[in-house]
Amino acid sequence: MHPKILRYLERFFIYFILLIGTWIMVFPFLWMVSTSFKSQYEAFSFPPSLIPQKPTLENYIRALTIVPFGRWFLNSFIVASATTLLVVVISSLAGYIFARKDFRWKEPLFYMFLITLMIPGMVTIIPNFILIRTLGLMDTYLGLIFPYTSWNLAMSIYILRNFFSAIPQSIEDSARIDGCSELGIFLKIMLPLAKPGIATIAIFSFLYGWDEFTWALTATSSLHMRTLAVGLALFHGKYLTLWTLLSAGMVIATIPPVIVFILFQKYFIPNLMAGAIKG
Amino acid sequence: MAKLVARSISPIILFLLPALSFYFVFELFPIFYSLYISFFEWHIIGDVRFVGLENYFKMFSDPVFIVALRNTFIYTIVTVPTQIFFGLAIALLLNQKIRGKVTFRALYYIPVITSWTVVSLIWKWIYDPVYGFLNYVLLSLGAIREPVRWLQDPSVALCAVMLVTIWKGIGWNMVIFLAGLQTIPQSLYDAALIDGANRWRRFRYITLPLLRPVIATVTVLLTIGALNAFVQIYILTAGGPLHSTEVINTYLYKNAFSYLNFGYASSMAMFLLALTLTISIVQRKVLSKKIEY
Repeated sequence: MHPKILRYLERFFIYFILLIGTWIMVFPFLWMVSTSFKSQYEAFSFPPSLIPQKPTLENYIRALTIVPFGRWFLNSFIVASATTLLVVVISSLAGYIFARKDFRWKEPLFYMFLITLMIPGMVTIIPNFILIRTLGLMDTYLGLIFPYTSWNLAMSIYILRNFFSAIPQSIEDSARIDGCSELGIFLKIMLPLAKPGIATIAIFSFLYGWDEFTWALTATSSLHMRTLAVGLALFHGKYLTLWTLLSAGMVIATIPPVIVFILFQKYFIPNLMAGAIKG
Repeated sequence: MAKLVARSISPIILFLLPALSFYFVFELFPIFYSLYISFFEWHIIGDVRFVGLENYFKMFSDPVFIVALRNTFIYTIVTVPTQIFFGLAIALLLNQKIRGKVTFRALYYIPVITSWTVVSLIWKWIYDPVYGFLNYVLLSLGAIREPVRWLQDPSVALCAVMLVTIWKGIGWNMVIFLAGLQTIPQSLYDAALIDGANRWRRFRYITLPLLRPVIATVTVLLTIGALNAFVQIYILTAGGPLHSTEVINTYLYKNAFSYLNFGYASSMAMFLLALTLTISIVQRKVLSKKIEY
C-alpha cells in the first residue's frame, strides 16, 4: 500500500482508539448528570436514554432543601478548608527546616515521616478511634480535621522540601547580609518563592478532606455531622432506588473538585509527576 | 541555665514541633497502640483480657480471613498491571502529534479527580441488574442472553469491583507516563531510526528501558494503593456476596466496627502493616536495579 495512505489509516486508528477510551471515561459522568435531570419515573423507563425526555430541576431543589445535602456540603467544605490551612502552615514550617537546616537526626526524622506514606490507613483506624473518643472529639469537626491534617503531612512536607531545596543559597545569604531575621527570611523570602509548591499541597489537602470516606464514616455518627462523601453513601444505603435524587447530590459533590482542577490544572499535573517520579 | 534553655529551643525545634506533635499523636503512637491492642481480647465495652498471640492464630484458621487474603492478592495482581498497561498505552498514543491532546488528557483525568464515593455510586447505578445501563447495552448488542447480576453474583462481583478500580486509575497512570515519555530525548529515537529500528524495537529498546524507573515507582505506589482499597468495595458490595469481594480492609473494618472486636481487628491491622512494608521493600529492591548504557 502507498505509505501516505498507510499513515492516514494509522492516524485514523489512533483517534479511533482515543475516542473510544474517552467515551468510556466520560460516559459514566454523562449518565450521572443525565439521571440527575430525570424524573424518578423516567429513570426507570425502558429503553433508557442519555438525553432526558422531560428534564427537571426537581432533584436539585429537593437535594438542597429536603435532604440534608446542603448541610453535608457545608461540613465537607469546613473540614476540607480547615485541613488545608493547617497542612499548609505546619508543613511549610517543617519542609523549610528539612530543606535548609542541618541538625542531628535530620535524615532519620525525615524518613520517619516518609515511611508513613507506605502505611495503609486501615492500620491505625482503631487506635485513632479510641484516641478521638477519649479526647471527646467524636462527631465533631476537630475529630476529622486533626487526623486529616496529620495524614497529609508526610506527602506535603516531602513536596515542600523539594521546593525549598531548589531555592538558591545566594538569595538567602544576601537577605542575611541585609540583616533579615530568621523568621523574616522564612516569611518574606522563602514562602513567596515556594508558592507553586504551597498551591500543590493546598490542592491535595483540600481534595483529600473533600473526598475522604473511611475515617469520616467512623468518626461521625449524627446525621447533621456527616460529610458529603459519607452522607451520599449512607443515603444510598437507605433509599436504594432513589438514583435521581442521589445523582443530583453526586453532581453537587463533584463540582468543587472539578472547579479546583480547572483553576489549578497547571499546578497539579506537573507537580504530581515531579513528586512521583523523583520518589 | 537560661542560656542553655534558649539555645535548645532553637528555631529548628520550634518549626518542627507542630508537625512532630501531629505525627506522634495520630501516626506513630497509633501504630504501637494497635500492636498492643492486638494482644488482647478487646471489645468496645466490657472487660479487656490479655490473650497473647491468640488473635494471630485465630486469623490464620479463620476461613473468611483466608478468603480475604486471597482476594486482596487477586485484586492487587490484576489491577496494578492492567492500570499500567492501559495508562502506558494511552500515554504512547497521546505522545504523538495529536490534535486536542490537552482535551484528551483532561477527559481521561476526570475519573481521577472524582471521589471514590461518587465513582462507586455511579458504577453501582450502571451495574444495576434490571435498570442499569451496562446490562441494557450488552443485551441489545446480544453479548449476553439474560441480565448479569454484576454485584450480586459471587462469580463476577470481584471482576466488577476491579473494573471500577482500573477505570478510575488509568488517567493517573497516563499522566505520569506522559511526563516520563517527555523526558526521553528525541535524539535517541532519531539515531535508532537511522539504524533502521522499527517501531516495536524502538519501544522495546529505548522507551521501555528508559521508562523503567517510572514504571518501578508507579508499581510501588499502585500496590500500596491496591492494599489500601476500601471505599469502592465497601460501597459497591461491602465485601459480599458470600465474601466473594472481601479483602483484608473490609474484613478488618467489619470486625472492628460491626462486630466490635478491636483485638482481632488489630491483629489484622498488624498483618496488613507487615505485608505492605514487605511488599514495598521487596518491590523497591527488585524494580530499582540500575541499567547501564
